[in-house]
Amino acid sequence: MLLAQILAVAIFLIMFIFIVMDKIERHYVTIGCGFMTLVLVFGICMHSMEAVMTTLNVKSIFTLSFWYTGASAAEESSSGVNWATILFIAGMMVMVEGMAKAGFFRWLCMLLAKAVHYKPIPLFLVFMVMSAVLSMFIDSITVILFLAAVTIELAKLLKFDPIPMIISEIFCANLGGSATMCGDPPNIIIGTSLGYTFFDFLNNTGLIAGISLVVMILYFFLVYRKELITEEGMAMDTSKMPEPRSAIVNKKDFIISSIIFGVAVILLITHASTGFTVALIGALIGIVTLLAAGKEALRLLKKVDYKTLLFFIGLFIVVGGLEETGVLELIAEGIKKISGGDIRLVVIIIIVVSAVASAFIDNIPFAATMIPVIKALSVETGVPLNTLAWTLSIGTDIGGSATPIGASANVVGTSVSAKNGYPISWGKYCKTAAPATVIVIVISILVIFARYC
Amino acid sequence: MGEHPWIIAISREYGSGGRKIASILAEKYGFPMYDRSLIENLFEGKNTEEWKKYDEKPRKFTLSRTVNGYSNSMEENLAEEQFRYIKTLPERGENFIILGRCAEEVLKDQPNLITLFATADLEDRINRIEEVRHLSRKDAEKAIKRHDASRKRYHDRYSSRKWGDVKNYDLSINTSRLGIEKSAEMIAHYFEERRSHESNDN
Repeated sequence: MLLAQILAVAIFLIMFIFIVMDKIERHYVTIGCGFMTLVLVFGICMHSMEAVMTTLNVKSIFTLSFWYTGASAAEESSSGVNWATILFIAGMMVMVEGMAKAGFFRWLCMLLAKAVHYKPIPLFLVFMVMSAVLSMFIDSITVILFLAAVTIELAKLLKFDPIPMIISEIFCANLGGSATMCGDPPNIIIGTSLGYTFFDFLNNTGLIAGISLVVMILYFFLVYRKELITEEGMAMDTSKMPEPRSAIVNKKDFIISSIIFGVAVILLITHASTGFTVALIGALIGIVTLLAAGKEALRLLKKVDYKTLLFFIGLFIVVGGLEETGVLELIAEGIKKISGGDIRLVVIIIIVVSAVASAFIDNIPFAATMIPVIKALSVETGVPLNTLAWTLSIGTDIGGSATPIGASANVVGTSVSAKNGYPISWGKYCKTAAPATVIVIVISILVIFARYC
Repeated sequence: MGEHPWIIAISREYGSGGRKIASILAEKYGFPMYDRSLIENLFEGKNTEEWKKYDEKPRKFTLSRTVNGYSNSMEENLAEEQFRYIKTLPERGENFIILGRCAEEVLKDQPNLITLFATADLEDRINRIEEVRHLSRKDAEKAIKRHDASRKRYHDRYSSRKWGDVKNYDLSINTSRLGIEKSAEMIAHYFEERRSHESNDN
């Protein structure tokens, strides 16, 4: 077993190093490392076909509980590849692609901008809230992609610096994503792996995100208010601004995609009572979007980010290697020893380690790795799994906001800004986002202590 | 002027006199020369000074991440925008000279492209940097090492071939042998030969 453990750790580290190096596309890295795990760790070292089957986890797809849990609470998914996460993300990708094609996001941005009469400060506030709310249901990459583009367009017309607004929007997108089960990939993985519902997240991480959002709006307003008010901008003639209607590419597609989005939100909110799993919701939403797209369905399918889906599959296999060989239990034992089983210390260790790690490395592999760790830790220390799950979720989601590489939305937002001529260096980004992250982490620790410890 | 413009793309080691050769040729033929000043044509001239910090620099790989083709590296974003802009330059139908910026790779489809790599003996490069940048010998040596490493990493990130590899260029010249002026003359001669060869073919 020792050799299998060493190999599993080595493959995991190689995967991480290659992801950080960014020389080879990350899905090739995880699929390659996943293949090595199956052959070297499970095959050659462990001679265990069972470990291969457990990790590939294909049979879970053919169980009723994968699709429908009845009126009971959602079930915990077994170890290995989390097909529910993959199916849900794929379905949402198809839906979001349909919405983007119809002009939904640009229309929404323009509508809100018009509603606040294109005044920079109200625009700044309303875009932060919109970023957080949209990210509760849609992946933050898409939200930031459109929001940053519209922010730059408006900044050019209204003569203000878009960088403060983009950094604030990125931060709020990550914050909004932490509030729900479907907002951020780590939450989807945590939720489907541990059997939580949309409302479980909303009542726990959602509360922390809500309090933090209020504080962050105040924080970013105080930090950036002077940069947003320009005399030139205040005197602008806003009658020449683009009409929200002009963003709608095709009215029929727009209405259909808005309805599908509305249905997706309702299904997600009610999934605990309907018994629909997120896998089923993802599949339904994806299929309905494709059916509604008609001839355009193939084009929509081609736009799906298969690379990310493959990245997830490979990642789950590599993490499965660590799980099957018992490496993650060793980590859990280590945390138990350091903390002495003190619940508050366990919370602090998990949230700080998660936040710091997520600030510099991809938070998805980190969260996927930590789920079996917190499961083992809960058994060994007696700390409720829920407490550890919310701590891990907040740590990984919020920690990613601290640096320009901490989360996907940060990378996309800074890149969109740069491509339009507004460079956001590490210094410029971290100057406001790093203290903001620390503030939110402190708020989170206080709420977790008050509610669960 | 023929249908396709003539482009002289010069890659160079730090202190080899590549820039000087480019400006001699630019003056001789009245061609515009594109170097760092190219940034002024990007992004509607916004934040030019800040962008210059990232010009012809490799991304800092531990501080960079790419998501769906989007990169947080300002160096990478600038390089991409520069390449996009450089590709539009031949459309103007104007001959030009371009320094660095992976131009031999970016413009490889241009039929009238002349690619050159300039090198020089280390001693001559040190002396040149001491003189031009008013540095001590030690600092000049350090600057050469730093700039060459940076240019190589920048180039090799975006090019399928290696920086300085003779197979990558029409000409590779050591300016120490003839001196910068004479080297420039030799390149001018090569350019004229190529141009007359091309017009004879047509």
